[in-house]
Amino acid sequence: MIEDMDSETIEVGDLDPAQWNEYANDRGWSDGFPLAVPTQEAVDRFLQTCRKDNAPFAPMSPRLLVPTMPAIAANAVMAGCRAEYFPVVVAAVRAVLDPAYNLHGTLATTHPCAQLLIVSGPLRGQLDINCTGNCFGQGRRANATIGRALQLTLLNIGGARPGEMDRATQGSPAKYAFCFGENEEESPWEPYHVRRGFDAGDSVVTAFASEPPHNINDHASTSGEGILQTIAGTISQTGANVLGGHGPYVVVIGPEHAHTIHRDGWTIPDIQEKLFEDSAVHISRVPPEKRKNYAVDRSAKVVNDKFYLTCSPEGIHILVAGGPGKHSAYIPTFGSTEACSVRISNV
Amino acid sequence: MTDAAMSETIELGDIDPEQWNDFALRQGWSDGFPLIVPTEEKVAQFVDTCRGDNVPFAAMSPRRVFPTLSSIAANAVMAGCRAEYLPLVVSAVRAVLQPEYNLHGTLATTHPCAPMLIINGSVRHDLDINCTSNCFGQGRRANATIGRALQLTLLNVGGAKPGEMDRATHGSPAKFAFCFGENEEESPWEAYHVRRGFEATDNVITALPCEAPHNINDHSSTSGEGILMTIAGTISQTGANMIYGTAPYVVALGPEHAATLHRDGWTIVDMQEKLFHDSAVHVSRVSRENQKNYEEHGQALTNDRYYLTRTPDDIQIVVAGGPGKHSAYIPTFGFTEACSQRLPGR
Repeated sequence: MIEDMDSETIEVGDLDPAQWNEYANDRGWSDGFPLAVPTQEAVDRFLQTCRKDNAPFAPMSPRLLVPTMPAIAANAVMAGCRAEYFPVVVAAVRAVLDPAYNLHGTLATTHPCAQLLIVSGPLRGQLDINCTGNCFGQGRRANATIGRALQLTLLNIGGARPGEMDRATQGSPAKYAFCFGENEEESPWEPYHVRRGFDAGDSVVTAFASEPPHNINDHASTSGEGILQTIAGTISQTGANVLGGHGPYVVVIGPEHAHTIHRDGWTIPDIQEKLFEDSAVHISRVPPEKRKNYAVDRSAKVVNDKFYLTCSPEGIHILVAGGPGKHSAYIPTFGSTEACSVRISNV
Repeated sequence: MTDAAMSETIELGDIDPEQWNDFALRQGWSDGFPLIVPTEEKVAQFVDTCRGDNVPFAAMSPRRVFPTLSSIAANAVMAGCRAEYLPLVVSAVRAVLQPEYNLHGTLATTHPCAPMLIINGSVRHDLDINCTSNCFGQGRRANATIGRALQLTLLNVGGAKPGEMDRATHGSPAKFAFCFGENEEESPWEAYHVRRGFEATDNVITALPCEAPHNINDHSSTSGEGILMTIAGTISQTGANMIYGTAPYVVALGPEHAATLHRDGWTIVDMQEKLFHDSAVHVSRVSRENQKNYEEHGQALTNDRYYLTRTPDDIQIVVAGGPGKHSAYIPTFGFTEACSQRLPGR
């Protein structure tokens, strides 16, 4: 390990922060924002938080380099992480390296997908991960830098450079960082990670290759049924990749919507069943060539003249996040991917 | 101006970059990412690029503080801008301060909107602004830091602190930065700023408070008609604020979709007309309580449909992106207008 580190260490001389940023930008190490300097001392400090984690890493697409702990730590330092975030970053790297995630596909595609990270469990509070107001946006160091650390790792180790091996036609701002915690405290249902088979006391990161969130505003409906109609009507789109019916998608319900839906007796399986049926896209809304391509060549699921957007109702991932306000969000995925969860070690 | 700048200066002593970041984060000055130290020297160097720009600024919501060139420059330095980006950042600030933009509404709302910036003109090349592959995403200093500089200005001058005066329920990653250039070179139509009444040689920045982009994938349709059907079917949603029918929205066509549409004879005006009609949401898709609410707010149904903008002209069509068969639908906050600002000089 020490040898690996040494071979990855370079001497940059005495640079001030502005000079360092010019240097790093010129080498393509940045997303465009300023980077902290990954000194050997800072990298060592981060590595201390993962000392017992000796599981090997698979090679990282598209360049197929094998990540090392110091290399991931260097990217986490550059992203602006605190040392104590590092176990989350490592778990996120392991999640996207799960073969079911299809990392190569998500990076080499022209689709705009970013790596969405959902953090569940007690670590959310310890690391001050935002689960409430503006949790998809700016303002909290943990959310911003954990999401960014994964992106910089994919860039600098995986080689996913936009316009080169990252082929996104337009991409999305979610590729800067997209990381939030479930608002377990205001969720009327079981926490998401518990529904995925983890213990309530576990801290878990779940990765999805996804678009940025699509807003679902419903200020008027006072029944769960009404809110679910608005949600289904937002999901029922012709342009998202989930039209192919193979991948999962995410519905993040704001606490106020969640409260109303739960009050009216809806369980998670009920909601999944309802959205599965009501978000299906009628073939009359899909242009003929696309209809043929998806139904015939891509074996999309067409039943009763409708494209179903997931393989089954369980393909719909439902959780609660956000603060006050009558908004929820629909987050479509890349389509050819799975939700990949990893328990965060060393907590 | 000198007095204002002086009174805005604080003495921090000799701290290293990490100590500076911890300090700045504790003060609530950051979006979470590292910030460059806005030294007096750097701020002065940035302000120098705007010499001669003496137009006063309106008060900035929600805190109603008046921005100065120095306070905007300090935020641009912190964001990681190069000095030569400052005229664009200042123009972006002026755009969101136009009353029609409704800055206060866009910040105080629970809606997730971010101030999106579209750049036209030769400045795109001068400053290396990404207009092609991944232009909405990471990787280019100008896109990232110009968008971020505006956000930091709204935070540190305007006081739009998430959870406090920024009331977004969820927000969106577009609130880190959302800034791109039109791909004028691969657009088969007139440039967006020219259609908005500017000269082709002008440099123009246009701001709209927006959701993050919704992807429109169409790899199969080989006709403009087919692509427009997929686009309209993506826009026709029940949950976006456009359902109020009060404001513009943006469609960013990828160059490959644009070439097919243009080949099939579609003009901008034709596309606006088509999308206006075909994206309208049938009343049967809207919950009864929402129907009642819209009726109470005077929103008329036409042919049993809710139209998503006031007129076809409200649909802002631009070309952006690189190779690939994707376009994007970008809904706005709904109570706003597209606000453009010409860069001084040239």
